[in-house]
Amino acid sequence: MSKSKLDLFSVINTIILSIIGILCLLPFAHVLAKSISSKNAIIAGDISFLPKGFQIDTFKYVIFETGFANSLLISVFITAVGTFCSLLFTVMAAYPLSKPDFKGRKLILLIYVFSMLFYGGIIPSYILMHSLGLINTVWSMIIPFLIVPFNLLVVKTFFEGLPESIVESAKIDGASNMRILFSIILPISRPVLATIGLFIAVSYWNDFFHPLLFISKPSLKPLQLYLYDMVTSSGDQFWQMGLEEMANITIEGVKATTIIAAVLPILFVYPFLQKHFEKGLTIGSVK
Amino acid sequence: MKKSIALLFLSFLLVLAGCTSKESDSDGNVKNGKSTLKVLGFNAPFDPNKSVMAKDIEDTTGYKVEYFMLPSENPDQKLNIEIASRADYDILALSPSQFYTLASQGALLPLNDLLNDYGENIKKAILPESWELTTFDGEIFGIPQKNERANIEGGLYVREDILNNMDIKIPTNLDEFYDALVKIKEETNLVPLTGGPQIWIPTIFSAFGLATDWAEVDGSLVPRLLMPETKEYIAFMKKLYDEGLLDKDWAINQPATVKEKFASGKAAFVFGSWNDSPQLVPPLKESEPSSIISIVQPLEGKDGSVGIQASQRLMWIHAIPRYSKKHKDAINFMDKKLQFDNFQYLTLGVEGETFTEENDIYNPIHPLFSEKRQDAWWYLNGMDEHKYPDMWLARIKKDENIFHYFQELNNPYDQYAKSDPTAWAPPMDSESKNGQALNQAEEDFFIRFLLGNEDLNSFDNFIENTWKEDGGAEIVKEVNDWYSEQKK
Repeated sequence: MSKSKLDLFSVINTIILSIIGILCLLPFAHVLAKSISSKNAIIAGDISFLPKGFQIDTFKYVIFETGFANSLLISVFITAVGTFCSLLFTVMAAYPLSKPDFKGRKLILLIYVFSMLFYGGIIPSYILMHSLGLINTVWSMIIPFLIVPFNLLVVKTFFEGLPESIVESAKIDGASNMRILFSIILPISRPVLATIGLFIAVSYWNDFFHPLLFISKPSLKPLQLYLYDMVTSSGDQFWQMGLEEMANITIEGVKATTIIAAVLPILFVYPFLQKHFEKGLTIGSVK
Repeated sequence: MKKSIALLFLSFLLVLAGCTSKESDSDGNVKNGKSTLKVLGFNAPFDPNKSVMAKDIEDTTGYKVEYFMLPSENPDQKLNIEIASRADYDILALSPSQFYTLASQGALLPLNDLLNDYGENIKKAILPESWELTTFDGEIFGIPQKNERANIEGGLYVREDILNNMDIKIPTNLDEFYDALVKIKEETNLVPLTGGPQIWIPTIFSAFGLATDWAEVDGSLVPRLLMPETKEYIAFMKKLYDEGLLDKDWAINQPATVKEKFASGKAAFVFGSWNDSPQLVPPLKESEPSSIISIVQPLEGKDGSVGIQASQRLMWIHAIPRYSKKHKDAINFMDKKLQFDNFQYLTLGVEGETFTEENDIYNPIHPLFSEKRQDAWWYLNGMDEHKYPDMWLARIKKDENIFHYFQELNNPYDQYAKSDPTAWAPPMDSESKNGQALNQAEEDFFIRFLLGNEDLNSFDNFIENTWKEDGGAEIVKEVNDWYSEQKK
């Protein structure tokens, strides 16, 4: 009895979810088809979900002859350096805050939480960066995420859950606070570091707001901003650039190819990180 | 010990944070090739610092330049924030609305003295009436750059081969046009005229005497929407729609889908610009090699009215922020670029190598012209208004389709071109406030009108109670106030 109920439910469930899944994939399939189809097929609007007139010239053009590769490098740099620095700073801020006998702990925590709830505004942020002389530098895109209060709280909670005995025995052996943190606490904090690190990396990779605000130098555009400018640009300028004369290249094709090229790195990396993501979503909830 | 080191380190960081790096300030004196100028321009899909143009400009003027760009969406917001925070720029390439906003805020430097001292070539290159567009109370705030050449931008593309098969000629007036549409509907399965969602087709409303956006009637300016002939025009379009002579998807079409329909051979007539030809013609030629794509000139009405609005507008204004310390260098730089030989070199290249000239007709030499001067358009800080209109044609000749259709549309320029009296008007407040919403309301109304849910009576209603109330009356008033000022 329960077996047959389970079967019917599963079957219908599977069908419905599969349909929804395929529907989500269709726009992506359309863009993918456009990116490898021939120029005239794209212009005539003949592409639905399958490519027509296969060509990879557009890919070659986008990857080698536009600012795409440069923007990709910028994004990778920001994500790598930003994640490392952010983890460093977050851990260094969370550790003292996890010690109950730290004077002023409540006040400092309050300040962090307060900044989590209220944002200063676009213009004050710009003025701040400007007065620090960081406009049009890579650091203006790294600094905003260096300490994210949510991550701070998660790490702090994790540290609080570690047994006191390890710390005490290290203190008896004469270790300084820094040494305890880096040689003893960190190695056993791998789960939280991996998870928070992942969240931070995704924030950096996807960030488009801070580059939009702080960057006007074309060579410093990270991938998301480059993609945004590319997709929203008007056809006029492409004509001026003589794009249409090139054998297989047309505006719509370039836009579609840029989109696919921007998504590919994440597609390759995600399967390896999926399980960390799942773990991370629940890590803050378990005390 | 460790604590004091930590404290020392901390205080060092604080000191570092306190010192902002200052640009070595020159006193604005003209030095050849010593200072780096920072130029902010509009968005384009390439890095201007990496183009061959950047080097050529540096070699010609002796100035090192760093180029920056605004984002493609909402550039005004970013521009305002940066100028308000005194971001380090020496030259700004501004759209008309950006220019008027910044000029009215007092953010731009008056250029009169600088032009007199260092801007001889700039003053020579640009006509006096153009300077009026950027002058307020006698002070010049920017270098005007108009569109390259007043020209007819759009026309009705037609499948002449289809007409030939039915033994009809390209229509020249409304009746011939109507007959052609009817025959196409009866004898082929093509959509006669595709378009939408807008109801306006310049080639057709030319026959109703509605060529320009604004027309002078008894001394004041009336927008096309309020002209009495408009009612006749929309009635005509409704007739076409009811008889199946318009694309039945007119209401839901988008400009891109319209072009696709023509390019894939599904429609006989479509309105487009010469710019659209690379997208319309090659795909059609590939799928139907016998196709002949021609242009229908503006149709003539029974009373002889005919005409189409020529495209003329102020495109960019080049200005200097008031706080820039390198203003003298900035003017000197722009002046050098407008010195005629330099200007020709930077826009067309080297004669005999990238272009040829004979009797004022300029031709590009492929492929060097594209390789070297592809991006030249972005770097312009004003153009030589005497020669560039002809020189610019060389750029269009890059693509044979574009040049062919440009000529088709513009050979009869003198015959058809009409000038809009508001072509050189500054952006109007009322227009930027309500213009978009009004245009949308108008478009929605006409869609309902075509589909039969509204009629000519409700059109009057729409004008009086919706369009005028929601900002239309304001716009008409502001335009006419400007116009009466001009006429004084």
